[in-house]
Amino acid sequence: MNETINDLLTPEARQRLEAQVTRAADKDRALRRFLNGVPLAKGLIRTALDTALRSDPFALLAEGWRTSKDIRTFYQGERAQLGEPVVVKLAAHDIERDLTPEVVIHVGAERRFPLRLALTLCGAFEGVELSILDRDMIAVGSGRCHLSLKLRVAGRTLESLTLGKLTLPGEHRLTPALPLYS
Amino acid sequence: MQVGFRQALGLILCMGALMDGSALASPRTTVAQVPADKTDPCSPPAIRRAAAQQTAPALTGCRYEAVAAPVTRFFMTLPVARKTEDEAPMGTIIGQNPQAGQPLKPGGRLVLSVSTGRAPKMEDGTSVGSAGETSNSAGSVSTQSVPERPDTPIPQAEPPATPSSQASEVPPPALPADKTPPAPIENAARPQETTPLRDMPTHIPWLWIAAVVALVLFAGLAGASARKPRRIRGRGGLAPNVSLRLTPGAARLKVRGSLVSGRKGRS
Repeated sequence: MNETINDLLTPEARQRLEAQVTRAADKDRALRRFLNGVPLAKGLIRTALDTALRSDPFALLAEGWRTSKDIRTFYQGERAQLGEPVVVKLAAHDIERDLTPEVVIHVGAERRFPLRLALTLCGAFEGVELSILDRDMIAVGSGRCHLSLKLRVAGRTLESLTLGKLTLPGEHRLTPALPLYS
Repeated sequence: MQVGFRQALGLILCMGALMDGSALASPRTTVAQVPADKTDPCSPPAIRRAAAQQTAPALTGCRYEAVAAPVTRFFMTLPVARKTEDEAPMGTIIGQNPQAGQPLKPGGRLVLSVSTGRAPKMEDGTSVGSAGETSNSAGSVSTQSVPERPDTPIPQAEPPATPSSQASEVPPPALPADKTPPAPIENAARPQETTPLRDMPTHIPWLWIAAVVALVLFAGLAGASARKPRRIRGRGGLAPNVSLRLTPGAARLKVRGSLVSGRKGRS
């Protein structure tokens, strides 16, 4: 079940994503000059994108649960003992999280080229249960999730790539456990 | 580096403009360029002048070593040296035959009386105080050899003029008797006329040569630095490591109503 964003991307979606990232990198004049001076760096963009997308989408979206005041209030009302897990059932909700890409080039020193492109990871959840242990979210389970990735430039959505509709099985472990904000 | 090259070129041109030719040229080292002393009869120009006039040069009072070579060169004959006891310094010519100004053709016989530096002795063993008695007489003889010039070639082209001088004359072995040398002055293309020093260039612009060498070195260094490739960022021995970093921002949670729909309780 531990699938990454890279695993959820279809080949077509990956190609469109690479095209958008390459176009955004080409708009950076300094980066464009650098890439023209280093022919090998062009081929490295694809590898870098694959590496960057190898992250757990639920770990990214769990930030929305961590900051949720409702979940925190519920957990405090349960007055759970130490070592005693609490399972909370969530209503249908959406979580979005922006991912700002930047090209980092190491040649002796590190130089960063922020791209004028924003990746927004969207998750639409229905009937999701959260397992909380000692103020730490440890698992997500038994629900439905619709993941998508949006490409936005200056607040305008260019592409909306569907990652897939996932039916969460019994439990999806969050590793490491994510603590709730107090 | 181009600026330095231009500055060096300008400096060299300024040096050439400010310095006159005599400063840039090396000092004249040849004998021919030294102004001849017209009053010195022992000098080679005076001997050459006498040879051109086919007259005997005035060699009395001169050093034999100094005049032997010019006389040999310009008169095509070796002077016959007679060692004569005299109070004059050793090696000084105290007499000559023929006398100065007398006709002397090239290849002719020239007898020089050379002082031995000792006063002449009489038969009773006493030395003669005056050297003038034997200085101009060809008959005064001495059996002692000249100590400072033991290997001086003293050839003679003609038999001795007087029998009395045979005892003191050194037989000249150099020139063959059947050789008739050409006239020294009339034949201008004679190879013996010029010396090796005269064939050398009179002005050797050492400073200009050094400046040109420095200019070439500067040009070489400038060219080498220009050919040196400029270091481009990202190009070199290190392979660039390109990565794409996704910086997550704040999460936005959208829910209609309350997020917590139900309590499943403690497990």
